Amino acid sequence: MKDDLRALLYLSPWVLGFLVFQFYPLIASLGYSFTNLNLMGTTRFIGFKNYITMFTRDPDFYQSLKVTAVYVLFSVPFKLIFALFVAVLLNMKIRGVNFFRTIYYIPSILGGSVAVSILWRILFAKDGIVNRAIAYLHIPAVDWLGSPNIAIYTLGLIIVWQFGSPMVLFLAGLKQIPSSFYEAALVDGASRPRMFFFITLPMLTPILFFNLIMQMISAFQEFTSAFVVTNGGPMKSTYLYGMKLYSEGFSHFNMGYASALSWVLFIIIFILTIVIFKTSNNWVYYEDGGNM
Amino acid sequence: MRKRKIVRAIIYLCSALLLAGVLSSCSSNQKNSSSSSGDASSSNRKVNLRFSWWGGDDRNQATLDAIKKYTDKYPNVSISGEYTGDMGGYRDKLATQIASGSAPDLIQVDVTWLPGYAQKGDIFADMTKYKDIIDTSSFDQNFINQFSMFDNKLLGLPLGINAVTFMYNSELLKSAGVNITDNWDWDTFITEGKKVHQANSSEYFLNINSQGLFENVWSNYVRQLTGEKLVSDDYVIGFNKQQASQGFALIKRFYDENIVQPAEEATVYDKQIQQNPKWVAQQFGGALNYGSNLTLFKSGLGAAPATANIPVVQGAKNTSIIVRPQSFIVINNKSPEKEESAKFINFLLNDKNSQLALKDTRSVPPTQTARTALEEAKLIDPLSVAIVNQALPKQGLADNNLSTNQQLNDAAVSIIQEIQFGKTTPDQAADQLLSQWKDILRELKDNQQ
Repeated sequence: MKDDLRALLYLSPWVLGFLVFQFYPLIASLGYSFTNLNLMGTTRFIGFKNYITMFTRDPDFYQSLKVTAVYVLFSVPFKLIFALFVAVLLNMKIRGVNFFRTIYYIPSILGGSVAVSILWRILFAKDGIVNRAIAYLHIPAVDWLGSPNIAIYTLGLIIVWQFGSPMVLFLAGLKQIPSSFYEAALVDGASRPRMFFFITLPMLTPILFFNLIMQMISAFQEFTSAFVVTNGGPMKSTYLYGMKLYSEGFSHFNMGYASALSWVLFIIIFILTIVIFKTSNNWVYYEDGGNM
Repeated sequence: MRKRKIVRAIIYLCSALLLAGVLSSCSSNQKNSSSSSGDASSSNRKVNLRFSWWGGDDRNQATLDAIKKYTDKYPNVSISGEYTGDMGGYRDKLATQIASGSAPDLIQVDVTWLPGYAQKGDIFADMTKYKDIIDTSSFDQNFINQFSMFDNKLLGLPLGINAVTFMYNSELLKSAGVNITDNWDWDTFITEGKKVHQANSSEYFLNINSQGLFENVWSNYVRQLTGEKLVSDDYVIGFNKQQASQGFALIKRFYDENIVQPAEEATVYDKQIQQNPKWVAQQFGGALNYGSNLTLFKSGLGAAPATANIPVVQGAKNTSIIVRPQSFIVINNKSPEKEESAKFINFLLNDKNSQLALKDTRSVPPTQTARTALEEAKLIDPLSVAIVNQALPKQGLADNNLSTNQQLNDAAVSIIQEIQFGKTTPDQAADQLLSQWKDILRELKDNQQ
């Protein structure tokens, strides 16, 4: 009993922090989503009006959903493939591999910062460095951030650059694969690509599964790059859901509506996560049969 | 059983800690309020003030200099400056701070925000209570009455006088053969302006973003046509479809006739148009913007910068040339140091040392004494004074708070972006704008009742 109390005492800063800074706001935002809470006016309970407005009278809501869907579908697979690619490279026995592992992780530490987002803007401007570089290859200049059809993919590229954390997980997964599998395959005369697709990839599916869920969630919540690099433009083509939430809450001060928006986002992410979990039985391979 | 005990222990622990937190915050409040009486600047009582503002680097440095002059004079006072570069970000942060009760003692607020806050009640202190401390005699009283008084309360003092202007690179325009007069209309603006791109295909007449196209082109044009505010105080839209459409057609012409850089290229710099490399390289003729931004924009204006009034529609019902306070300084009504804040404001606006430190970083100073001091010391940009002097005699109708509502603004700006990218026609845009604004206004009206 005494030990229990002591454990609780040690846990209390976290528990308290969780209750005050996470649990309470979470519940409060659900409550606010049924009000017209506005920093400039009087607050009233308005039932489901925010949710009804969202689905029936707010074209920006659908636009931001569409943009976010494109963004998630493009950036998440691309990022995972890239992270896996780098992880495989860094798993090779080459000189100074630890140095490279560190270097390749750095973008993830810098990734979300405003300064880096401004750097991207300079790189991808019409007369920016990227266009000058491809001019040498006689490729005509592209409006990376200026064209409503391209800008969202450019933003997707930016997030791919922050491949560090899934890469580290993949790397750890690669280390777990017993070398005896590869030795046996080698004896049987399997080619390298065959070994990758029939040994490495199946053995990595639990990690892939975890990375997929985590990256999907964070992609749905992406805000900084759209806000700083493109400000949601041109023509709302990069108006991610996070931007929509921000402008409702902090530009128009419609906190009630913004709360409702965030709950809808939560439900969307929740449903998609469940769907991925359900399908995982068919494609995730656990060596121990998944009975952990 | 055991489980229940643990849960109970958690509850006890949390409530104890919560209680401790509540108690400690109460006691610190008490300390503040009891010590706020008593004269600090003449005694040695330690006074801490917070002062927040937004703007460019020059303004930031000038404000810090003025603060230093004050704290050098009164060493017991310390003032921490809270600076934000971007005005939009500042506005969002301020609203959150005010809602949560953590706003600074002294706050710079924009002229369009003050009426909204005034409506919400006593968020800012009434400065008439401190009329023995703040000397307002060298302000233009009409100007103060028009913009700062709400229900006989003086809620803010202007930090500068501002006017929208066309600031231009006279050398570039001259070499392109552009003829600028002070009495021009939007047609001349286009027919003269297109000469710039014709003379040199990498140069354009006007550097502007979607926000500027709404605020300084479309709105002005429509107001000139109607002679009305965009939205009346009774939530009624002050223009019809045809007038809105004409405004959008004007913007379309800007793009069709190469007055402005194509949207695909310029949109990347939409937030800070003065950072557009073409602006820095002095490849733009000029910009439509507030005089207070002159220092921010000057690097792109070449060796001979000049200014002219904005174009006015022929036979306009209203020039729509807006002369207004650049911004206000206000005292947070929740500040425990209101009197000390008032003393600082008096120093900031009336003391010669402070005036010389602030220079014209918030446009032309609001007081006659400051204008004289700066002119004598040759510290004011003659161009800044020229902007205000040019605009004052032709001053038009000022907009009300509702017309500058952020939601209406955002809706209009995204419609204008569609015009910029050629995705909609002026007529469609006008329909869209009217229906969206009606929706928003209905909502706003509902929320006010």
